[in-house]
Amino acid sequence: MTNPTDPYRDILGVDVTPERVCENLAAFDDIRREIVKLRQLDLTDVHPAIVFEPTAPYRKGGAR
Amino acid sequence: MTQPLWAQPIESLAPKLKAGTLSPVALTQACLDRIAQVDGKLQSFIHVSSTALEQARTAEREIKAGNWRGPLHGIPVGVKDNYLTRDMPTTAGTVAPDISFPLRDSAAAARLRKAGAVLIGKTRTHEFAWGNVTPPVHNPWDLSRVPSGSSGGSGAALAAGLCTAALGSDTGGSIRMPASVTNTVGLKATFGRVSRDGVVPHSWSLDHAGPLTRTVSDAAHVLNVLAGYDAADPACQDQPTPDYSKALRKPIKGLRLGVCRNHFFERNQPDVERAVEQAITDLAAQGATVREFEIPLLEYGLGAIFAIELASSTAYHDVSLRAGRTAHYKPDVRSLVEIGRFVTGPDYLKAEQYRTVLMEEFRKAFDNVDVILGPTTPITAWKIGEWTVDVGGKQESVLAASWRFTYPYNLTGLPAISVPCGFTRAGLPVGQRLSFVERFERRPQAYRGQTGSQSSIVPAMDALFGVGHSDDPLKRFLDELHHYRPVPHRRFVEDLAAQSKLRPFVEASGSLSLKEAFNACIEQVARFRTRHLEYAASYINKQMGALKGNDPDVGTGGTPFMKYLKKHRDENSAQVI
Repeated sequence: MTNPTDPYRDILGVDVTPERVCENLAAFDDIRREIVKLRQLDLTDVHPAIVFEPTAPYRKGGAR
Repeated sequence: MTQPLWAQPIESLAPKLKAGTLSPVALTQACLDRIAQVDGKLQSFIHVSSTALEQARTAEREIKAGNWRGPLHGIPVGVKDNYLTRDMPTTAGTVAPDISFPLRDSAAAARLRKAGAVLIGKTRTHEFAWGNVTPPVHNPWDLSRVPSGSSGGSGAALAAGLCTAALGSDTGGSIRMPASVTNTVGLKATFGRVSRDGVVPHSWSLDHAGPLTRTVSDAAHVLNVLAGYDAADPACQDQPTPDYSKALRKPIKGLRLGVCRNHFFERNQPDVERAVEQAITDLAAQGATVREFEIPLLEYGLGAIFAIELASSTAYHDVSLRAGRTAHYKPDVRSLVEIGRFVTGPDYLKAEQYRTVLMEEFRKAFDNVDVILGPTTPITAWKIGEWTVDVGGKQESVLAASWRFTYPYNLTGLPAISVPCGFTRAGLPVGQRLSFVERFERRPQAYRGQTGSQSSIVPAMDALFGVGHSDDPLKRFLDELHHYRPVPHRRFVEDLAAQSKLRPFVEASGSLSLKEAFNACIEQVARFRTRHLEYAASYINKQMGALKGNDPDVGTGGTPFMKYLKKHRDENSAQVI
């Protein structure tokens, strides 16, 4: 029989007990609420603070 | 009364070490004795160097021979146990099986050694620098309380006089929080200013390396050694490094002191709030102008830092997670590493989008203020084993409360320093946090070093000699280039370009010898272009190395610049008078 925590075990990628999955979900609960709050912001036109730098591999070996 | 050696800051020890009136061996021995006396109770060191006295003797010999390396020469420094060191094991606070770290120097350790510092030992960190506590370390101000974390070993060791300075790392406040609760100074420089090469990663875009010290002056001296470009850290900024000690002891008068009234003052323990308000009053009395403002967007910060920190940490520990090694992690760290899996990709990127707008909000604030002052943390050192504290009349988890005021500066990458701000009525230290902007100049991709400097001189020389060209499609590019030059170099180029009336002066002079001299200069500019082309091509070939069929036009600011140089090289000769 499928356990309701199985999808979360799949996400975790770790072979843990259903009890441990429940503990993790409980521990994540406060954090999840903060992330849900963040989702409310409309940032459609904002570029993430991440810069892809394809030239980086050619700059290795600079002096310290 | 003279302070014992182990209690003195670098700023008072360094002149004596330099003058030879104090031996590095005596200073190191004083710290080792102190470790032997009190660290049984504190537990701040996980490893004490067996070569500390040998390092001190080397420093002594060098100083006696007249080879003083600077203010850190002969100074005992504790190194957080997540910095790799070639002669001391690194554990990153874990005892999980099959996890080990190489015996090599992190960039920071190497820089400290080069500066002549004595690396006296490794200070404890919470496992993988997670968390706001550092078990089993105790706070020297009250052994029943935490030194905070994750650099709690460094904070406790420094406060108790077991070393003269220490290294910490800061992903959400882990340098500044321990500094705040141990009455020391903790400095997180601008993201990218100090190399994290050889620091066990926690969250790549949030991690900062930096010092804990006894005084702000000491922090400047240590940062002078740590700061600088290192290609081994992809986030490290290739920018000139100022002498931070030159900014010390500037007058307060005229300083625009920013106070962000939302978020940082909404809920604090009363003694913390009182101490920081007093500091604001004192600074105003000394001539600072207090400017209050708000950044409402801070309300969303906790979700953002959690999304980034958890997802990053879980990515780093992914192999260990799947191999079952995380089952041997400390329970709180294991949970955090596991639950990072619940952060979705869109949530992570939303957090990164949020950083962009938060950085912009702080930039706007810094248009009107020079520095932002507030409490480092809303709470003082809490009891070991306590997981909730009273904050402004409300019970709050220490996890949520302790880093509330520090993590915004990890999200924005802005520099922030925690300095002592007095004591509570119970005698516990309070820290105040100052944050400011260190203005990096922008850096283009693939545009570096000497070729860049030479490239930027060429248009300045053109301006000086009044050399014109048939077309100049790259003017915008060169204008942008202007911002990428180191400050002294830019000043030289600007001075050169400012003398652009030379050509009409020579033309009007009627002097044949002056015209000949001027034309010779024009020829020199043409030759300079040729030499620069050769140099740039050689540089590019070296950099692009193994790539066959590479177009040598690529690089040094991009393809267009090489073509620009070639096209204009031969036009110079036509410019003679």
